[in-house]
Amino acid sequence: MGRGGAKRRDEDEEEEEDEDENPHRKRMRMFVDDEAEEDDEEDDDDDDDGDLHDLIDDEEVEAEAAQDEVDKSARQQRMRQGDLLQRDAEDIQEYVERRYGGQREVREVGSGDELQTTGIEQESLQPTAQDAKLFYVKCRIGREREAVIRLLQKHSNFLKKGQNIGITAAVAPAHIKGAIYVEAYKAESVKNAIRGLNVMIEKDMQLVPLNEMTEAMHVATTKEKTKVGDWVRVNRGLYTGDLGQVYEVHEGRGDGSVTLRLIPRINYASSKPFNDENLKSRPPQKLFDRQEAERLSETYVEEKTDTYTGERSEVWKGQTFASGMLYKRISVRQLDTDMQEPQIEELELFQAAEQRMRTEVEELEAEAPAVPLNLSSIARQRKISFFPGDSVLFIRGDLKGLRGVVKSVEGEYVVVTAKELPEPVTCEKRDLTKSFKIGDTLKVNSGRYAGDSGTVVKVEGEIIVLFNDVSKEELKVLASNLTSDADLSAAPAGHNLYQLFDLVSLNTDVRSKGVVVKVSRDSVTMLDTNGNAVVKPVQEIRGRLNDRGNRPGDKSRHPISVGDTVKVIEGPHTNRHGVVKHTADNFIFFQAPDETRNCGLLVAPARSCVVQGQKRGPSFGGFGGGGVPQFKAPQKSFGGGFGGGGRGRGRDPIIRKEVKIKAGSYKGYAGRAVDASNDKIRVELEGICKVVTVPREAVIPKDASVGSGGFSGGFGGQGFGAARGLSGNRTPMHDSYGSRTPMRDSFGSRTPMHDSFGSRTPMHDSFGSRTPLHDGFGSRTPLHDSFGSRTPLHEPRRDQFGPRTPMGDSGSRTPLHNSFVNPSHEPRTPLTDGWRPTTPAHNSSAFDPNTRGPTTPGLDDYAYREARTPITPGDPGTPAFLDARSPATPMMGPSTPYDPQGDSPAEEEDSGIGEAKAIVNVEIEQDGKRAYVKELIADSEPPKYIVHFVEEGGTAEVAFSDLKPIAPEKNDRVCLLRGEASLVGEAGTIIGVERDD
Amino acid sequence: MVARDQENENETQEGFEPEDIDMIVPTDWSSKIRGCLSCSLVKTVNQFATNGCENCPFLNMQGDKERIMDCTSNSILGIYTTMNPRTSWVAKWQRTVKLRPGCYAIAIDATLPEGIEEELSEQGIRIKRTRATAEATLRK
Repeated sequence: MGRGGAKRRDEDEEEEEDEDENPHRKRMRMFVDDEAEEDDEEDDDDDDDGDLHDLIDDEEVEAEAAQDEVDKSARQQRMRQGDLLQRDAEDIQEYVERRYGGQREVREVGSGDELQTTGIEQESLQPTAQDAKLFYVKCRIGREREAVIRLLQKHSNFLKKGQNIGITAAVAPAHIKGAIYVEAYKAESVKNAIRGLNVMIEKDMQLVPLNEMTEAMHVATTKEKTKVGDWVRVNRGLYTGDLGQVYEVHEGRGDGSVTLRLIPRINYASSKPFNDENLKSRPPQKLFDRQEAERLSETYVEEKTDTYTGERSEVWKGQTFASGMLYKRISVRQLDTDMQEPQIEELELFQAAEQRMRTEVEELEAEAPAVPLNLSSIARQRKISFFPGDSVLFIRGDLKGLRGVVKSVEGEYVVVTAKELPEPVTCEKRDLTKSFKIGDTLKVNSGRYAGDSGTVVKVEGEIIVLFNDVSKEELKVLASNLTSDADLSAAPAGHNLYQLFDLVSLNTDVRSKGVVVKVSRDSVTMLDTNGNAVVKPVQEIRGRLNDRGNRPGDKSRHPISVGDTVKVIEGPHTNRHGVVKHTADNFIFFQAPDETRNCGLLVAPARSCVVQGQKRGPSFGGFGGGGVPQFKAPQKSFGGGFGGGGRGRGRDPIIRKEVKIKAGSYKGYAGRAVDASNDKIRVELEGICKVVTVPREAVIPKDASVGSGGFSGGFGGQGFGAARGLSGNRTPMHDSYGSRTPMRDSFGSRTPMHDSFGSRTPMHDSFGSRTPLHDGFGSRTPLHDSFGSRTPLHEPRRDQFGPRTPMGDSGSRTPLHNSFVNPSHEPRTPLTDGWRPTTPAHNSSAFDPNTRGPTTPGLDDYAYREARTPITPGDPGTPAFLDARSPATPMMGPSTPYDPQGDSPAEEEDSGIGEAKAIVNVEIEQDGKRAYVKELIADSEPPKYIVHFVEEGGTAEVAFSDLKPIAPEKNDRVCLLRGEASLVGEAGTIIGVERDD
Repeated sequence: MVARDQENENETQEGFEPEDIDMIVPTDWSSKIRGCLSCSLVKTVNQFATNGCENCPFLNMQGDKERIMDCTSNSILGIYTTMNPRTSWVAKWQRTVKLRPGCYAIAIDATLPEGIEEELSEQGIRIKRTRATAEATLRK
């Protein structure tokens, strides 16, 4: 079709005018002699035709068109004369249709760009009031086509009998089920037509409004046809999943077939090089290598030149190759036109082919292929997300080749600004592809490297090579996956999402779990269950996991939970030990003191480990390295620690206790705790027969009042609670004293502590350093040792510990705590009273009978462990263990009376002083005066304490070494308190604490 | 079933021209039906083989199955039948007013092979473009 667009448009407009005029003109014709007008029009027409035919330069067409014209005029005449008024409008339409419709057909032969015109022409055919009406008629589902054909048949039969049913058409659109449209002037005609047809349902006939008639003829958007140049994927056969470009489309048969350009997968040596049966062992993608093919197959490669296009190709064993690519005819059904993201590797192969093609064209002067291997056209078939600020290249339309910058994005449309353009233009997404220059700082927003960013160092068409400034790696990324760095701020801030030692799972595989061992800007390094540290972009991380409920069994099926100390007895990490940080399915992540990589984290199957020792409290003790604020840990220690009280492992002391629920929907209920986990307690309610699960915080023992106040005068246990509250680090003590089961006391006192905990989080670091404390008396609690041993810091100090009696621990520790707890603990002061006297008492009493001897030297890690050994098996039943506990338990009794003694003076003074944070009764070594410590002067070296003399009143500064903690009177033992503490920095982190005893 | 041999009686029908009564009724409505890629007329393959396409005799499909396969397609998206195309808006909308009453495709998802199209246009033959086939060409 040789006609210029402008010309065509003119004509269309004219046509439209014609349409608009129609009604008037029709009326006019009734009264005016319209022959003249008609003539005019004919003249116009002739002109038009002249133009048309000149351009077409086709005599036959012209002749036919002329003939057509004559026919038409004759028909018009006839119609105009003998027709009913009612049908006039329609006739005119028809007349137009004939006049122009005929020409249109001529025009459309071989036409290439009917795009605009057809739409307008179609508009002119909109239904009018004079047209026959459409009726919506129900029919049996699935028999729509049959229905309209039967109607046609019926109409035909009636016509033969000389009757006219009166329907003019019937429509069975593809998108409507269980109904068809029947067109007629009268509803009666439709009724007659459908009567007696069993595929039709006679009721509920509806007239379709005029403006909905075109809707009935609507063509459901069909899937886009495969076009030459399209990029597709093969979904069957040897090339399953491979990317290919449509080189030729063969229409007609079935859905048709296409010739694809593919990267061949050939095993040249094989007798059946194109055998596609065994997909698993298919050869890798590689460009066709003529020499290799000839050498390995001893089959010559024929050269061919296409007579039509002049393209060169090579034929080997019946297959056609060109530029290293295989040309393969494949049924359209075997194609996935829904393009998936092409891989870099695939594109590189095609780029190599493109390169070959170019050299062939240049060097061999071969004809350029009819279908260019336009790799950037891949972008057209992909969904690219554009972001404001992206540099883009127009790949279609008038602006093709122009570069611009995305100003804004609105759905499928993108507003682009460019230097060359006076104002921003709006264009479709598919008109654009991303384009970047060397030196641009970009971020990868999808694909394998999602989340990374870098600077463009190389641009190879679609492939951009980025240099990552963080990892110092080069990344090959598709341009469409990149976005300008400008919008980085809009991207999710990755590193706030995850923290060190978080247990996380991946989006890609929910079952794969790992622990974060490194956090970088947009990615985290994760130690997976295979022991590999893998870097994952934050986007790939699904989220944090809670492993509290997961307690895989160790070698002897003892459940391992977070905080346990385990020793590996099998596998690559044999003989290594550490504290469990996380459990993931049947794997445990533990922090080994002797591991230097991955934050000391190791992973091992639970079954290849044994849990060491008993249940221990200070699960959080080892976090020094990690620095993860886990203020929940104390709770854990809680449950665990007390569990030691002769009741067997892991048994929460609150179980079987009468409790009250203080919060939540069961607030006010009383009941009995039947089960407890780290943070939840199951309570059997008294009032209603029901067992409910409530957060631990919401439960208090029935006989304990809430808050710290209630404990004054209580037995030692409560003091501990308080002490613990003062400093989370003291939690381990609970273990040792756990035997007293003052669960609820500490419980009550704990509750308010949480706040302080949170604030104290940074201090956890100091834990590590303070660990020796635990060593000292930790001998009883196996965990403590691991504690010490885990933190290398302790090593140098250990020597200094010398002989320590466990008693001393508590004593010496107290001031320490004081010192660093001070800033935050005012309110808790009263609590401490109780603690002061009792602590040592308990200590001593508890220890005396059993393990003392062996443990004292145990400060050193080694001895330590040895000492522990009898207990280690982790079997609650171990006699050693029981021994240790049983004497302790009765202590509760005696301890209670002590309190008042020690307490009363302290309490008074405390209240007077108000500022003292933690107080311990001491004795000045030289003169034997009794006093209690009011304050630690941290700045001085050696550290000094302000002590308040009990008897004579007044205060004095005393060197730490001169102080001796006083044990309660009934306790024969005397604790020697000695230690050093230095405060470093404002955060109050204690770097080292040692104490004797 | 086929009513096209009844031409003689047709003159008696007022307002109808001979060809109006000469309907082309598909003898099947299963997947056997195909649409002419020129005029979108829908019939069975056998009907095409017997009579060719009544609207487009120039396609020379009579008795030539190969040719039928090339010049027709089974990717028909909805059909309609025209009983009286001259007075039917549906026929007007689909631009089959001048074509024989019969069954047509609302849309066809295929086009005449380029070779055939060129061959016809060289002979100066006009293809009977209807909405269905014209839009298919556009989509191409």
